[in-house]
Amino acid sequence: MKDRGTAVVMVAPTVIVVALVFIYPLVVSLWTSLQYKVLSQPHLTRFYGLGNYRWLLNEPRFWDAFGRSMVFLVVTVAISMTLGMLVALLLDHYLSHRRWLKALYLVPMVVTPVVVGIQWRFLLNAQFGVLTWILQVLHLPIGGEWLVTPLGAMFWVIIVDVWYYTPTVILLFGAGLEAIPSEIRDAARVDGATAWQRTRLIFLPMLKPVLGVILLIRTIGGLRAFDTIVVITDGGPGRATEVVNLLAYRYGLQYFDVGKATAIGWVMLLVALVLTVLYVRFLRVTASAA
Amino acid sequence: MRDQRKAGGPKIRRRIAATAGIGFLLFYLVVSLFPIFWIVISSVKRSVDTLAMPPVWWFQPTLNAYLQVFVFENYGRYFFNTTVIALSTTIISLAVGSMAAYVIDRYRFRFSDVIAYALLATRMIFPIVYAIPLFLLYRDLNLLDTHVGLVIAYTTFSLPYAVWIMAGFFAAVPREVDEAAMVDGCSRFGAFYRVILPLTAPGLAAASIFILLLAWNEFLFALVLAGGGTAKTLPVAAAQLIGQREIEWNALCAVSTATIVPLLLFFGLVHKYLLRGMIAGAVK
Repeated sequence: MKDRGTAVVMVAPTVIVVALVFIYPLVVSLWTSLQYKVLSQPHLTRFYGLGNYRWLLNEPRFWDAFGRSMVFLVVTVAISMTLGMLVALLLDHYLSHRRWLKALYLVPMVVTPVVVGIQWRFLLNAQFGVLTWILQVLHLPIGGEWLVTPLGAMFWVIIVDVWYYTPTVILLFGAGLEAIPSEIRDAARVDGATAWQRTRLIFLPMLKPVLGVILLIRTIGGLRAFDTIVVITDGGPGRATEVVNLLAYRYGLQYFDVGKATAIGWVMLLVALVLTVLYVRFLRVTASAA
Repeated sequence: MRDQRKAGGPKIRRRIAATAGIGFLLFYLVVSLFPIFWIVISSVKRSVDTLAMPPVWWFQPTLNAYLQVFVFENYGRYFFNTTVIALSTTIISLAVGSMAAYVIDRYRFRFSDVIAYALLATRMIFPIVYAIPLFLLYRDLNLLDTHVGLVIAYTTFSLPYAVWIMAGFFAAVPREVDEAAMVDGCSRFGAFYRVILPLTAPGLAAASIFILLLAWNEFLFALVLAGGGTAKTLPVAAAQLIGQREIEWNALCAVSTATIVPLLLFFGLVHKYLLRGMIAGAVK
């Protein structure tokens, strides 16, 4: 093709930017994870082989954080997917033509994560939080002071994550529902299928690939939870909400132990990859759909 | 017809189901929008009213908190930084990414799988993995605490989205359109810029939502690469504010509201493209 030159010029900036600021740090961080490297003690830097990874596997604090991440992940993904599917199905059933009303359900998606954290701390403040007050009126002992107990902190961190990410499920699952041809819906209705039967026997099987993609996106998102947790609990009380991502941040940018921090990052990438492969195997998710 | 033959029972049951269903939808909507609503109205309360217990629902509005943070304190500066960085990132990513997407779609480099997996990979990699090397690199290049530094970083993160979404939209435009434009005397780039790009404006809108949200809301890299001073963004400033002066909830609510109102307005303008952008790649 004679305008191959133009093509190269047009694609070059993307390739250069991605190589410089994406691939370069990846290579460097892999190298860093193989070194003993603490930024505050530069003279001790040396090649360390798999030392950081060996340390990691024997470090209880890592396994505690890993366990918390898994609990957080499973609970938040389960609740947000169930709730999101339910809302999307009901919206599709009762309000399928009110586009602007459906858009209102997506609003939490755009809120800045740090602001999400601030707003929930404000709502749950022990002295004057409006949610604390509402929960008191309802005689539910889960607001205010409970936030500073280990169980309460984890509970609310999960609830906030559900609040924040259920709209993503509503959006994607709703998009899948909308894509089901009206002929199929009409045919099912003529045959006398109830709404529940249509959902269970037609919609859910047809949307299995979409559900796989949503599950994948939510899983990866759940593993990366950081901003809201930092603002709401900062990993506390004690280390009750210190998830892996927060631990990596602490090691890297508070203790400056960048060798260990990057090792944590690479191990978690491996975990994400394993989960992805499992999903692809069992749910036939394709990358192009994600 | 069937329903009518069955008479009373199912009809009533269906009405109950509809009431419960719509009731639940309303309840969910109220619960999900209330936190946002509350922080916005608290930002225009007087300090006494914000801290009142039980909460005050009817009050005398005031802009004191905004005056305090944006006029007497530095938050106007942070707002400006966030705006400049987010807009620059969006414009540059769209320009660079749509060129690449066009070439990838039209020349069939067999890149599309690579991009699909690259996008997935960027989602999977823990931010700390490239936050640290980027921090060290920026320190050596004197890019810490600069607007340019953050724009470059965010552009990298958003390029896969831009390329991915735009490639989907370009694929929907027949190649004959390019060829006709070139027969009429356009260069290849001219055909792309003058003819194809205007046709795919909805794609640009869809991509811009993702990129703007990413660049506006990002916290970790903003903290690590520009947490110190001149290029500090609103999310970082807000997070630091909660650490320093937790008691000043009015100020916090005002900063929070100012951070999200531009996003809410933008979302209102372009929400119908959000879905199209998300499924553009998926339906191929």
